[in-house]
Amino acid sequence: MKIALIGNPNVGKSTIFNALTGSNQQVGNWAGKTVERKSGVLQRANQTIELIDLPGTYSLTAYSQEEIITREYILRERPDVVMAMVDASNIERNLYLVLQILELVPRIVIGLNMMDLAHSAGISIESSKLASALKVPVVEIVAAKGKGIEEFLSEAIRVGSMASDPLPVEVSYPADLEQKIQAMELLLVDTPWVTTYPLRWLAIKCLERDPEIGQKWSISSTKLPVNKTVNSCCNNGDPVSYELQEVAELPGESLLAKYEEDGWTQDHFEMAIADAKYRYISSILPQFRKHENPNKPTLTDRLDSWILSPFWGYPIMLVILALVFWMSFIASAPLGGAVSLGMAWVADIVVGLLQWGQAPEFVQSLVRDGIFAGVGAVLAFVPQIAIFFAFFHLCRIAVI
Amino acid sequence: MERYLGDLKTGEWARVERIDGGGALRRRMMDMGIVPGVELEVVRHAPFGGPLQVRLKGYYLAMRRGECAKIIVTEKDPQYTDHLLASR
Repeated sequence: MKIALIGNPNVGKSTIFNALTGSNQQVGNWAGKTVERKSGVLQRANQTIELIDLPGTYSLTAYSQEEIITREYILRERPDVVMAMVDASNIERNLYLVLQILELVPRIVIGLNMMDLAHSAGISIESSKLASALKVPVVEIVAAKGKGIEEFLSEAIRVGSMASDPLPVEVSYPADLEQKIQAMELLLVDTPWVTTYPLRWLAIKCLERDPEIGQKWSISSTKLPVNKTVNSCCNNGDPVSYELQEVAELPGESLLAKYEEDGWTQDHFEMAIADAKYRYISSILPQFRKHENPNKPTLTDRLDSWILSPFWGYPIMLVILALVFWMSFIASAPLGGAVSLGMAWVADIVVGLLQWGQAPEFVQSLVRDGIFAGVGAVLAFVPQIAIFFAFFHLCRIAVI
Repeated sequence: MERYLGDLKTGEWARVERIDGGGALRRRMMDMGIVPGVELEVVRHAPFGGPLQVRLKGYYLAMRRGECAKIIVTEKDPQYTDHLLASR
């Protein structure tokens, strides 16, 4: 069974992936891309599962390299199940991606992450109601603490082993758009493409003039012989590459031309479809989300209003930098001095022992002037470096 | 009154009227939820012509000034609920 992890950037996909695969990871590159392709093989319930960690993306109509990879994987390698990670604190934008996946892959499980973050912003989400609104299983997870990860996977396996595809919810488009989608569906229903892709998705992508529609790709996973002359240091071999087999002419050109005359250009379709999805999300949102005091500023908001203020921001930055500087250089000086004194004291004792043991002069010199003086000089810097890195780490986690 | 998003003052709310230009940038904006009819708030401006932070749909988004110059907004209107899609 092939399972893909997908979601917006920074929702915790890699945390889940690492927790599930552990050291059974295979890291390569995506064909022709400088982006890592991470996959892992797991054994659960007598099944071999290939789990793949896809790069974060906001939509399946993608432009950046990472997004194209995610999209091409879903389209060309067709995972059996999609584990969709959703950030509960930012559910509208996250569900936008989920709705796009739902149109393409019916077997999907939602992993609801960052509930704690949502909670502190006054947002509460009832996962059971989200599940019934989208007709898709939802598992609550706390990726950072490792909670719910196994349940998330076993739910995905359960969905993947179902005899027939589940029927998730369909986005309801406004009447004029719906009518155009249905007209396109009528033209496409007899083409062989409907056996590979869902009809509605095909129709929508035809209206958006998506270039992938009508292309047939084959996947070759044979490793190409590594060419030593071509930069072998940096190319660890693409495990999978795609080959374009044929491009078919799809019906509907005349219909598209007619719509264009009426003002329904490609841009207009793209916008209308994106708009309809966001509207649909807003319409189902009250079923599962409660937002208490949406205008109440969170702790981050309150801190930001000072730290990022155009006036106070600069003095606050200077004070923090001065504090870090003072702590690591001036306040740490007595500690460094204490380390030096301590080393000298230990050196005296050890050399005293050596003299008592009649050790040769060069051994005493090695220990006193070489080991203790040398290592001691380095150790004297430890307090300084430790304090600096403590602050450095603090600043880093404060950003997150 | 139509204005560019970049001309809004800190703390001002506006409704997106349309997005100029096309291609990848517009598509990306739409994917992030900036579609005609959506209401957003300018939270703060970075100094020296730096990016702008806006709030929409309950999340924050930072955008370059050049990108904001492609977004045309009008005043937020509580009476006006439905919004026709601009074709361009």
